[in-house]
Amino acid sequence: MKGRSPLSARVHGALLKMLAPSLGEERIREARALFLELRQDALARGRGAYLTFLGRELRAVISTALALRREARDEGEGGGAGWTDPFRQDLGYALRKLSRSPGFVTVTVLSLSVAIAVSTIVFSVVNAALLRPTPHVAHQEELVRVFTGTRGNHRGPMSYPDYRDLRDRSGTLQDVAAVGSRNFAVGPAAEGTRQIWGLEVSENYFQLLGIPLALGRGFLPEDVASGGRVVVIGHNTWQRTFEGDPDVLGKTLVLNGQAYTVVGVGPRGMVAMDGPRLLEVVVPIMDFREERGRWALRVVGRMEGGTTLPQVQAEMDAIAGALQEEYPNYWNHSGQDPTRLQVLSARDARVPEGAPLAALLGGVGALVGLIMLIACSNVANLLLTRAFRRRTEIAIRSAIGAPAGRVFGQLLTENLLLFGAAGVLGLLATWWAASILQSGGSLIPPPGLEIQPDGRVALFALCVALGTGLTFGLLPALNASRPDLVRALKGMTPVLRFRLFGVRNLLVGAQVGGSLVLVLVTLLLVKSLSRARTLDPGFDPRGVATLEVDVSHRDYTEAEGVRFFQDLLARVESARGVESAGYADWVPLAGGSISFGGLEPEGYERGPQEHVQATMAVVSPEYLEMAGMRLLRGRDFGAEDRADGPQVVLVNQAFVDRYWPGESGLGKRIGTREGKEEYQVVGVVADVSYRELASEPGPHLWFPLAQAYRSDLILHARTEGDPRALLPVMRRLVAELDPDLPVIRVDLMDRISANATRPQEVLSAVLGVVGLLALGLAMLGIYGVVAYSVGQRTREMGLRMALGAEPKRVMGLVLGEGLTLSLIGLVPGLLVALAASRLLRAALLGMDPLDPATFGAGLGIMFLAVLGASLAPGIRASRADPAESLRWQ
Amino acid sequence: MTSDPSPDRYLPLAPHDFQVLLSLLDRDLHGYALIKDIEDRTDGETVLGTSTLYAALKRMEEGGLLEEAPGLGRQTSGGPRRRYYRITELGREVARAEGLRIRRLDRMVGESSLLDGPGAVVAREVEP
Repeated sequence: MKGRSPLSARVHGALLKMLAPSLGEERIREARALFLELRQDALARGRGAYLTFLGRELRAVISTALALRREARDEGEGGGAGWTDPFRQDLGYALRKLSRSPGFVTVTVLSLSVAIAVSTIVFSVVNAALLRPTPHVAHQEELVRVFTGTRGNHRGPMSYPDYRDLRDRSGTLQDVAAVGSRNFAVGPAAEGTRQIWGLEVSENYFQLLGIPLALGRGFLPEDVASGGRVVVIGHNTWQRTFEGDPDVLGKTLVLNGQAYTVVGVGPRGMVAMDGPRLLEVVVPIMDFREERGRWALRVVGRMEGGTTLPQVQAEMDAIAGALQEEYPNYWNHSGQDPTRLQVLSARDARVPEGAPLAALLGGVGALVGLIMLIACSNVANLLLTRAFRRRTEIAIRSAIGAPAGRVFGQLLTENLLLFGAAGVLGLLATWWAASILQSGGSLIPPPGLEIQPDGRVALFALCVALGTGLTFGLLPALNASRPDLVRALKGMTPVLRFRLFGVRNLLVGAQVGGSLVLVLVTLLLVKSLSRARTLDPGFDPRGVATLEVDVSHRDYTEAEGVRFFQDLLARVESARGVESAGYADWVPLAGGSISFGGLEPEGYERGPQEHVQATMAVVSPEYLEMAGMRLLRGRDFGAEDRADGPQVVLVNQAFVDRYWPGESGLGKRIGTREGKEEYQVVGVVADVSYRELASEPGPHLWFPLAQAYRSDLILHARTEGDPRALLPVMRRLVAELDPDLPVIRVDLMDRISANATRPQEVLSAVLGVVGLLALGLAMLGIYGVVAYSVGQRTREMGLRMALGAEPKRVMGLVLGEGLTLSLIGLVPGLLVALAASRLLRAALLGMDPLDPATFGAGLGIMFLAVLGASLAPGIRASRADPAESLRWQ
Repeated sequence: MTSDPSPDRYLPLAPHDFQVLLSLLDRDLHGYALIKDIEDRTDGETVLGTSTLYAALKRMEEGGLLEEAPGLGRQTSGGPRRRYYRITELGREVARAEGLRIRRLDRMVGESSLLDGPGAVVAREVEP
């Protein structure tokens, strides 16, 4: 069913080929097929079983390789012709040499593999989000996205009639499909529903994208004509809800309380066209097929062969011009900001505009580059030291006639072996971390993002390992393969030592600088987070239970909906423990936002290009008080605000400050550009953080539910006790009123509004881990260099102490050396951190990126780390017996 | 490969090899079935890794203890041909010899005081 085997199988096969070639081609191929079968079994038994399986297979490969080697040796009496070939010889020598310094190998391989894993994981996320072509979609280079563009929004959606016009009029696009996102409550209400994200699409969606369905068919015009209750389900839904039933076609799936007939099953790993989220439910677009004002659809088209993007754009300009003429109310309402059509290749459209995501990923990428640098400098330093220690051995080999090339090759082989092992380990760790991230759901990647490492990721890891291996392995190898023979053999190499030490100093400097950057950035994020927690969001989400329903799922009319919501509210209010309750169509800080544009605040002189807009929410009377929002002036909504009464609105203080500075705002009117509506301000509310947690929220409006009916509402209830206990009660009350109405979601208000700071939390957690690793690596590096230098100067130290220097002074000497060393890195590190913190401004929730206290703390931590790393060598030096050290050498 | 007819030459068998031979006594099996059969018979105590299995198969095939079952290999859709393995006469003899060896061992364990009490093993180690 799948064209390519999974990464684990490929790694397994590669390892077998590499380590146990004597099994033979055919057996290895068979073993790989068997591995795939067993993998399936293990996967079916869950993650624990899968990890056990992988561990067993890895151990089996290693023990098999060792056993086969032993057998070959026993049989072949001293190897065979193979061992005369120089590379094999180098390899054997390197293996033996390395196995004699397990500590060195462990430290190098571990630090490198951690660095490789970290960078590869980040790359996998970027790869999944931005680089990898959408699976199962044919000829993606032909696909384009068409957006509506206004001054405020370059990537706007469009309505179904607009889409239809575009499709019918375009000659450069073979076909055009429309796509809208929808949430579905899956399953009959009586059995408890599951909330799932899916798409509604035009009938030609599957044909246009060329998605090969595993079973059944896509949609047909007849489906729409006969009511459109048909669905194409994804692989997971097929497996879970229908237990993989091959006769699933024609069966029923209940979505939002309605029965849908399954007509098709998507291929495994089918994701949405415009975001890599797993796609489980796809239905035809049935709603708002005639409402030109309902702009909610995204549009994708496939270009005719030989057409270029500029040609499509030119045609879209013409179509937009015609639509502006024909429907000025929708396409050119102010006469000043006509709506355009903007074409982007499907690939470009995946990168978010203005891209906070891209900036964030870029920033993380840069930081990950840093840890790579730190780890590599560390390893390079270790390699240099090792090469230096072996100068006598190398000199002897050169002296007895080993060509310089062979010595060089020998060292390079050793280094590449180390980096190769680290690469493999790093890749395994990546793969493991990715499967955790994947199952962790709401962690870093958006839910459903397929971050399973693919060939591209493996290639990336390989390049990183080989690239760093060659660079950092070559340098020490070159350095060591041309030793000064005479000096080396005499054991006196002051000149060489000094030069070598220069390189090492720089490497340690890079580590110190790199970790300083990471430590500072992490501290900034952590501090901004803790500060954000103390920020007043303008509402109090604690102790509030929420429940979301959409009565349009049961085709209620507005009057029926109003009655339902009133009945439900009355029942919830009288439930035990409930202090107050209310409705809203949006929970503050839940993520996303709803805005009202084209406003004309009374008496405000709008600039010619200015577009007045505010975020908005629809609420019931008493909601504000229930949610802990503070009314500053005027009144809350009440029973007097009826559907047929004068239209009223509440504004926040930021709105007043912006448009009516110095005034109370009460009694002011807010019109709309079309002039159709006018709202009177009856109250002013203290600022509430709706869209993001910031010290200065933007202008916001509240409309009374009675005058702005919504079928999709979130019921809030504040309770004295544990709000979790209220969730099942609320569910039951809904079921008592209408057993078939699906509940979209029940949750606690504080959990929902924690969404807003989740990216920062994840980012600071990730950076915290990376920063700690970096700090540890840097300390190891400093320790290595200082200890080495102390070792070199044993004689000097001994002399000093013999001449009466106190241990304290010797200690100070060593610590001073460590601090001097770190200074090389601290200055550039500080500069880079200053630049990086500016880039991070968006993630800092309004905190000063140059916060002096944070920078002070970061430097303090580095200072302590450097002292800590130099302490051990210092103690050793100050305790040295002068007589002993003078005798040394 | 080998012309030495004495099954004792192969003893003691590696535990995994013995398990594979036991599984093949009554029927020819392919790799997947072999692993599952061994897992079932040992109540999940012995689960062979794929490479362990193929190393054992290679060893015993080259030693003449088992062979590919002719004609049974089926082409499964997409995947490579599944090879079935069959125990040879020599393999049967070796397995029998190993079985007898283990039985003798078992008898010796029974006759000793090795498993008499919970502390027996430890005490014996301390004694000399």
